[in-house]
Amino acid sequence: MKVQAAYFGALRARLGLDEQCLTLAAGISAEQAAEAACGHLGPEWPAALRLAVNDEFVPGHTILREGDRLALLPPVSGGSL
Amino acid sequence: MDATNHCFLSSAVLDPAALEATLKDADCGALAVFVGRVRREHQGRPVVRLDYEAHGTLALKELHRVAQDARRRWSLGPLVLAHRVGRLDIGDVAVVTAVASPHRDEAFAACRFLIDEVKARVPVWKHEFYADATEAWIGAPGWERRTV
Repeated sequence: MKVQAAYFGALRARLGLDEQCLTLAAGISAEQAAEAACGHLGPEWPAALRLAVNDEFVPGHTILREGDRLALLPPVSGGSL
Repeated sequence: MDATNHCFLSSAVLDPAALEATLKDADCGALAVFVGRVRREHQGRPVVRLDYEAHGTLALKELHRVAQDARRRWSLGPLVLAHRVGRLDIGDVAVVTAVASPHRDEAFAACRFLIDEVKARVPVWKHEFYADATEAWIGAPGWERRTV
């Protein structure tokens, strides 16, 4: 199945991509998809991410469906010091 | 009492005085305002500028959730949660959290809660650029200064 992954912040910069169409096995979870997308950067990367599907935060074990939009969100750093 | 949550991201300059002026409520005798500005150094290193990036849809949703969480804790009048996105220079206003309430106890406590929650939860990312031509995405795994 196909899932549209969107990357943000440092992950977007490291991958050099704003978004990417991922072709994945049916029944895969959000965290498994994140591992597929950025696990090659090192295990700390997928582990650090918050995930969202179709503009809602989800737990990593959420099962993805065809056409889902998966956002991979690094640790946030808004506000000021 | 007005229970408006004025939550937004802005690529334009934030004006704390203008935002404060929107929080007049005859039932509220207290107004607490936090203004966060870009500092010229981070961990001892001179900053020349920074960029804030956001997941716009999620950030807006989370700002509203933060506001609702504050209302569950305290009796509050109108409030503002505003965060800049895009490029900022030293001294620019990055974030404003402001809240009116009947009395000062709630205003002080809620204002502190609002900025702490915004910092912890809202999907915004800071990209800093330093005087020595290095840069860093704050908070990213293994983040450290790299040569641009």
